[in-house]
Order: sequence, then C-alpha cells, then structure tokens
Amino acid sequence: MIVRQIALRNVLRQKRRSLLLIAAIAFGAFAITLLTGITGGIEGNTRGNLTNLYGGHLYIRGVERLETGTLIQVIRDETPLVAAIDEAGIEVESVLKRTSIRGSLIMGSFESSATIMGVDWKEEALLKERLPLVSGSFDSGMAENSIIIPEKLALKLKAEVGDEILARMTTVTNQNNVVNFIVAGIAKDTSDYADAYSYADLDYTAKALNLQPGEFQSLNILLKDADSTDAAAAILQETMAKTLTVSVRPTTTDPTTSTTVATGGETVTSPVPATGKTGGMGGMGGMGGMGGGMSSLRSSLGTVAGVSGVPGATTDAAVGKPIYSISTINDMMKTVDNLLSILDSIGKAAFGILLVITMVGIGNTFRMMLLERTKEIGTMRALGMQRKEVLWVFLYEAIFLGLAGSLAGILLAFVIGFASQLLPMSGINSLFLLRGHISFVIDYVMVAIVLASLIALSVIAAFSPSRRASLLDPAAALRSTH
Amino acid sequence: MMNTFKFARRLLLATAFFTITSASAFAITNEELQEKLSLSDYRATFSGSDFQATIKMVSTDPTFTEPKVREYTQFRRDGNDAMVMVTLLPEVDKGQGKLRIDENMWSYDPESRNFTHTTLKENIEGTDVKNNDMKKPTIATDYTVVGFKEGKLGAFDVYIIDLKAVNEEVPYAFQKAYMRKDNFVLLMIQSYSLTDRLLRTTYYPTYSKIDDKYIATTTIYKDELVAGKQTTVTMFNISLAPIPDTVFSKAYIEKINK
Amino acid sequence: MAIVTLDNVKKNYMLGTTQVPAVRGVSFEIEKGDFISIAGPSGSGKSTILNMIGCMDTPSEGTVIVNGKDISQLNDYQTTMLRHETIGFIFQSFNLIPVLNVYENIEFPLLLGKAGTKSSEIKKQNKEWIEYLIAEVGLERWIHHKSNELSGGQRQRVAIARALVTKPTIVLADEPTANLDSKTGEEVIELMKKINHEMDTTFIFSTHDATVVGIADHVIRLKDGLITENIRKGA
Ligand SMILES: Nc1ncnc2c1ncn2[C@@H]1O[C@H](COP(=O)(O)OP(=O)(O)OP(=O)(O)O)[C@@H](O)[C@H]1O
Ligand SMILES: [Mg+2]
Repeated sequence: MIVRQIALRNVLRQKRRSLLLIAAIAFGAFAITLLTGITGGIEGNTRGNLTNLYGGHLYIRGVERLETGTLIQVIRDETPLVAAIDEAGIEVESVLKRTSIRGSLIMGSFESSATIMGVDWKEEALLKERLPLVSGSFDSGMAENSIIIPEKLALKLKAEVGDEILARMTTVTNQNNVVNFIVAGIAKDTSDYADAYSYADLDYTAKALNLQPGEFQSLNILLKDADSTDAAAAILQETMAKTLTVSVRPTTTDPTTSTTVATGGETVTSPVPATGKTGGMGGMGGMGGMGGGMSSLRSSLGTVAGVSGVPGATTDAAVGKPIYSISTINDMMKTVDNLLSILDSIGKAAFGILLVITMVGIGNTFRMMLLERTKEIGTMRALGMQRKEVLWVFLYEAIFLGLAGSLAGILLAFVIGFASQLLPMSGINSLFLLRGHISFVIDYVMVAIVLASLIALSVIAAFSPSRRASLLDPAAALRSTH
Repeated sequence: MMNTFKFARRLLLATAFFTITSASAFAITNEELQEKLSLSDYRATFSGSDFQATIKMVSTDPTFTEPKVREYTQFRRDGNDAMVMVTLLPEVDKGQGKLRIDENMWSYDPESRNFTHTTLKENIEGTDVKNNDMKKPTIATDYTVVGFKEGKLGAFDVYIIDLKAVNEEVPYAFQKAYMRKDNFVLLMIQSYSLTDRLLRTTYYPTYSKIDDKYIATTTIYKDELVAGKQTTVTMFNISLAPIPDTVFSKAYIEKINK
Repeated sequence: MAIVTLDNVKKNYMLGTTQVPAVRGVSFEIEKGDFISIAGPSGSGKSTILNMIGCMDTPSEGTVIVNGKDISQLNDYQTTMLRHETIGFIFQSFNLIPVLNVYENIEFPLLLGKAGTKSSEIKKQNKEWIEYLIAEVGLERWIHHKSNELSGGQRQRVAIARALVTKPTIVLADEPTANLDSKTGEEVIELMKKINHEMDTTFIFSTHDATVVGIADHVIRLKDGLITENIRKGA
C-alpha cells in the first residue's frame, strides 16, 4: 500500500522526467496500435470489398478445352454444381452466376477501359442495394443490353442514361468483338471499391464473350458464415470431386505455381502454371495504386480472383469435359495479407527498436534515481522497510510509467485512428478503404499485448537499478549526501 | 432476314469507297481467290531468307494533342516463326524488346531486367497495331473465302472478297479483303466483329517489290469504333540479308541493353 | 535488565587498504527509560556506536545486545524487523520522506510490513495515536504540509513523532540538534525529555553540544573510540 503510494508520488515528483519517459513509451504504443488498427482495417475492408464485388466467399470456375486446344473459361451447366453445393451441406446465403468482361467502353470519340460484370439482375438484390444510382433505375426499362456504369466513367465518356455506348472486348477465345449497350443507370460515386465496375445482363455479356445464353463463367457463393470459408471450400471440393473433375486447391502461398487435378478421387499433380490472362480486376488499374508494389498485387489478385482469367488449368483437360476449380476469398486475401504482414513486421521491428531505446532511457533514469534517493532509501530502511519493499517502490514506479505511457499511446492511437476514418482518402487504393475512408479496427488482443509488454519491459529495464537500491547498505546509504 | 440486313449494311459501307461495276458473269471462283490469298501471304513471307527493317508507327487519337511516334528495329525469320523487335523511339522506352517464337511472346523491360509473357492479341503500346500484325501474314490459312464481288477501289479494279474465320480463335470473325485484279495485291482489309460490326480497316497504299516478294511499306490501321484513331506504319531500311541465329534469343535483347 | 549491552565492542572500517579503528573496545549498558547522551569530539565514534545499537551495522569484535538479541546473529530481514519494532530513529538532517506530508511521514513506519492486513479498529487507533503525537510535537496546523514547507525545528519535531509512532523501546538520535539553532535545539531536547518521562521511552542521543549534554541523565564520553567517562546523574 505505502509502497505503491510512494511509487506513485515518486512518479509525480520529477514531472518533466516522468513525462519524457511516458511520452517515449506512449509513442511506441501509439505507433504500433495505430499501425495494427489500420492494417486491421485494410484487411477487413479488402475482404469486405472483395466479398461484395464477387458476391461471395467461394468461387467455382469452369475451364474447358476446345478442339483447337485452347482453354476457355466457361460453365455451361450449373446443375451438377448446385447439386454438389446441396450435397456438401454448406449453409449458403446466395449463389450467383457471373461473367466478367475486361475491355473498353466507347462513346463517340471517347474510349475508356472498363470491367463489365455480367450479373443475373433477378438474383442480385444485394448488389442493387450497394449501388445507389444518381440517375436511371434498375427496374424500369431494363433491356437485355442495359448497363449500369459508374459515375466517373459516365463523366469520362460524357454518357447519360439512355445513351448508346459500345463495348470493345475479346471473346473467351480471344476474338475481337464489340457489342452495344444502353446506359440504364449511373452508379453514384460512393468511393466504394466496386464503383469502378460496370454491370450488365448475364446472358448479354455471355453472348459478347461468344458463350451461349445460360452459360457463364463463375458461380460465386455467399456463405452464411464467412469464417467457415476454408472448411466450406474443403467440403465442397471433396463433394464435387466425387462426380466432377476438380483441380485441387493449391496449398502453397502462390496459387499459380502448381496445379493439381483430382479426377474422381485420383489425384494427379501437374506443374503447369495458370495460362489465364491476369484479368478480372482490371478496374483497379484506373483507381490509383500505391506505387510499384501495387501492380504485382493487382496482377496476382487477378490471377486468383479474375472471373475472366482462366484458373489453374491443365494440359490434361479432355476436350469438352469441364474442369472446375474452387477459390476462396482467403486465397485472394493471401496477397493482401502478405503485404500487410510485411508492413506489420516492419512496424513491429520499428516498435522493437523504439522499445530498446526506451528501455535504455528507463534504465538510465532509474540509475539516476538510485543516486538521488540513496539517503531516502537509507532512511526508509532505518525505519523498518524491508529490501523487498524498497525493490517494489522502484518497480511500481516503472509499472506506473509503463501503464501511463502505454495507456496514453493507445488512447491517442484510438483518437487519431477514429479521426482518420472521417477523412476521405485519395491516393490509396480503394480496395483497402470503406467507401473512400480508412477503417480503424481495434485489435483488443494486440492492445492487451502492447499494454502488458510495455509494462513488462519498463519493469525489466528498471529492474537492475531497483535491485541495487534494495541491496544498499542502510548505514552507508544514510551517510550519503543525497 | 438477319443475313440480308448484314448484307445491305456492308453494301452501303462499300459504296463509300468504290462503285459497283456491272454484274457480269464472274471469271474467277472462290477457290481461285483462296489461292490468290495464299499467294499474297507467300509474297509477304520470308521463309527462304531473313527479314530486317526499321518500322515507324505514327498514331493519332482524339485524346492526343499530337501524333505519337514509335520506332522499332524488326528482325524476322519466318521459317522458324521467330521475330525480335527492339524499340528505338520513344526515348523512354528505348531498348525495350519483344521476342516471339511461334505463339509465345515475351516483352523485355530493361529497367526491371525482366521478361514478361504477353499475348499476340494485345495492341502494341498506344497504337492500333496488334502484336499479331507484325508477324508473317496468314490470311489464307485463317480465313475461308465465302463469296466475292467485283468493284473499284480508287483507280483500281478489285475483287471484294468476303472472308470468314476458320475458327473462333482468329482475331476477327469476318473480314473483307480488297484485292487488285491485275496483280492480286491486297489494298484494303475491313475487319468485322462476331457481332458483324466494322472494327478496323487496314490500308496497304504502298508496296515495295524485292524479287518475288511484295512488302507493304506503308500500312494504315484505322479504328472504326473511335473516330480519328489510327496508326500509320512505315517500313524502311529493308534487308533480306541473313541475320545471326543469336539475334532470336532473350540473351540478345538483354545484351543490347548492356 | 539492561535494554542495550555493549561488551568490548570494536569496529574497524576499511579505508582503501588501511584499517581505520572507529571503536576500539567499548563496554556499557543502557537501562530501559534512560535518557542518555553519547558525547565526544568529531570522529570519536559516536555515530558508529549508535549505528550498531540501531542494528544498522555490526561490530567487528565484541557483542551488541539489543532487547535481548545479539545483533551479529541476525540476518538483514531480522535486523530490519528489530529496527521496525524496537527502535525509533531521529537524524541530524531530519530525513523526512519528501513526497509525504507531515501526517504521512509520521504514519509511514506503521504502514510497513503487514500493514494491509490490519483491521479497521487498529487503523482507527493508529489515526488517533498519530494525531495525539502531532499534538504532542505541536504541529496540528502543519499536518498536510510537505517537509520542504517546514522549518528545521518543525521537521525535527515531525521526525520525533515518526520515531515514536511504533511505540519503540529505544529512540536513537544522532546529533538531533546539530542542524538547529541553539534555542530550537534545546526545545527539541526538552521535548524528547518530556516524552521520555511520559512514555518511559529510552532515548539515546549523540551530541558534542555541552548544553545539550547537560539535560541528559546519563552521559557517556568518547575519545578516539574509547570511553573516557560514563556518569549516571543522580544515580
Ligand atoms: N564508513 C566509514 N569508512 C571509513 N571510516 C569511517 C567510516 N565511518 C566512520 N569512519 C571513521 O571512524 C571514526 C569514527 O567515526 P564516527 O562517524 O563514528 O565519529 P563521530 O563521533 O560520529 O564524529 P562526528 O561528530 O563527526 O559525527 C572516524 O575516524 C571516521 O573517519
Ligand atoms: Mg557522527
């Protein structure tokens, strides 16, 4: 009791010095809390954005070999897939058919690259909800060639609702093609990641890709429980492999390096890299990246996620026999997660260095305190204070400094973190943002770790001088001039 | 119903350039025209020798303030279906190289010292020229003659040949080739999409004749979807002298950047 | 029975490689309730002897027995306990704990050890006792002041109250008046004497001030580490 009281009063005794130590500790706590809060936000936003964009957590894609040997991405019949999903017993919120066209939209002499998602409007209630329109509507006069384009693109093309625009693209077999669209709606610029995409009718886009009506490219499954993604993928994989040819989900971090094909229980490994063009996420290109690293992120995301990219296809594919592959939001997140973990490691290394410097500072301060308080220690020892209690007077002081510093830093990080959510962010890839804003996500475990480790490290840094204080000879200490 | 509509539209477009001559009995068959296309391919293919030229590409676009100029040295060995192109202009891209062997194509960036695999169907940066346009022509093998008319293109009497792609992987589903009657040289090709819309017109206004080869020294690629978007390709310093084998390798492209 | 017994006590200090004899063979006894002055010139060994009686130091030779215990036989924990329970300290330069106010400084020794386990009844008694001591040393008005707000005499009064708070059998005061003017010094000694009478606490103080020595009942004079005189007045 008295030990803690004296320790606390000692903290307040040299206010400038204590404040300096608290500030140093606070800075470390602040930096690491802010960093983890923001990387956590980026993780969550990216996951959310991708889930929204693809309308799900699991993606089944089909690849088929043509007579000419070319692999194309197509699912001609979803019945066996839907049956497999049922049989696997996965709890799904929705199952959406999608196509994806990477090309450009043209109006008059204006041309702009664009990614057009082919969607089944009847099934895409969620998408409609997330796409507020500034003009036009989803329901009135939706023709087969209606298209919803983002506001930015509409401005670039000078297009308005009712205008005819041309779309230039290549078919699944890479033949040049062009189709016309009528602008049915212009999606409000909410700075949402999916804003960069245009949306059109599934069958019409299929036709543009030289697929038959009813054919599509990927089946995207929104799970009831996002956390069960990996488990659901594994069960679905297993179930599908009973009757269909399914390429085994790669377990390496880079899903393009090797592809394994399971044919009805029998597993064949084939070291063939994905032959698909890195498409699907082309829309990110126009959204401003974070520099060089982003382009590789973009292309690897495209390889994994690209609805238009041919996934880990193999040369063994028989003509006319589809090979399915399952990828998940987690596969797509790997690239982002890798990037974030690098950021995290750098942050933690910097935090570590900062801590070492702070610890040296704490150690020095405590040695100084030992000298300044020698006589006081002698007095307390004479009055009956035990060695252990002297030790704790000092250690509690370290604890209080660590506690005050880390709490101040964490609190400041919260304030800055939540304040930064209010600022619109430009120049940051909107994949990482939530409607154009940074998200700050508190990782309570991390906060607890920061708090505990900073207190522990303060104690460790202070321990040696504190112990020396406790071992002082009381008579000698009393003779000291301090 | 649909076919007659298509036909009418093509007719209409064609009248902009030529006038239809008499509907007299045709003296040539589809099969013979297919032969003439093979001849045209043969005349621009250098299987017996190597081919080297400087290629200049001038692109205009409604969004450009002034035409963009690109220049390359091209080495071709059509016998092996190999090609190397090294960028001379613009200065910022100087030393970038492309290597093509069969259907594989790589582009080399001297800055990152990396080769990346690209596809033949991609456009050469900022132009209306596809990588595919820079290889030996294969119009006769890619397309089947499905019909023709006789007509006039400028001062020349021409066959207007309707072509259909032999499969779905040929860059354009349909083409119309305008071939001179007198020497069977191609003057113009109109390329159509699967949806039967005119995408691109290619003009071959000047040829250079070396032995039995006809080299289109000027080629104009006109984008038919975006008005004012076109690229003019001119070839000069043409040589059919042998090129060392080492040129057709990644190592060569790396070496010229050292 | 004597509360303190020194028997042929010698104490040597090492100064570098040479031995400095501070006390060279001292024997005496102090009875409970004594008001005793250890006098002598500077360097005569007064502080050394008080330190040994206060269990802050052990003799090089001979025995020091405090409250029946041979201090040479005790470990640090036990000597600390013995100090806490039996001895009160008053220092030349007062040695108040700067972060504590008057009340807290006096309370301090009571809070050491197993203070947290004390019942509220005892806590209440302690509070009354502290307030009684504050009244006794005449510092009621200064109860919430820190030591740097007090004069030297006031500080030494706080120190006296603090020395008494554990109700020790012995109070040691090493030159308690050296940092005070002569009038204040006398007042402080008078206060100690008054408490000595009232509470029957043994006071052992060192001084080289003749007037202060005059107030003591029992005087031990030292010179060069040896006793030159040991007089018990009125005995
Ligand atoms: N820690 C020590 N190391 C070395 N010598 C010491 C030490 N403490 C005391 N001495 C020496 O022992 C002798 C007695 O010292 P002590 O402090 O007991 O004298 P004192 O009578 O209290 O003197 P003063 O009136 O100056 O306080 C002196 O010669 C002193 O120099
Ligand atoms: Mg002394």
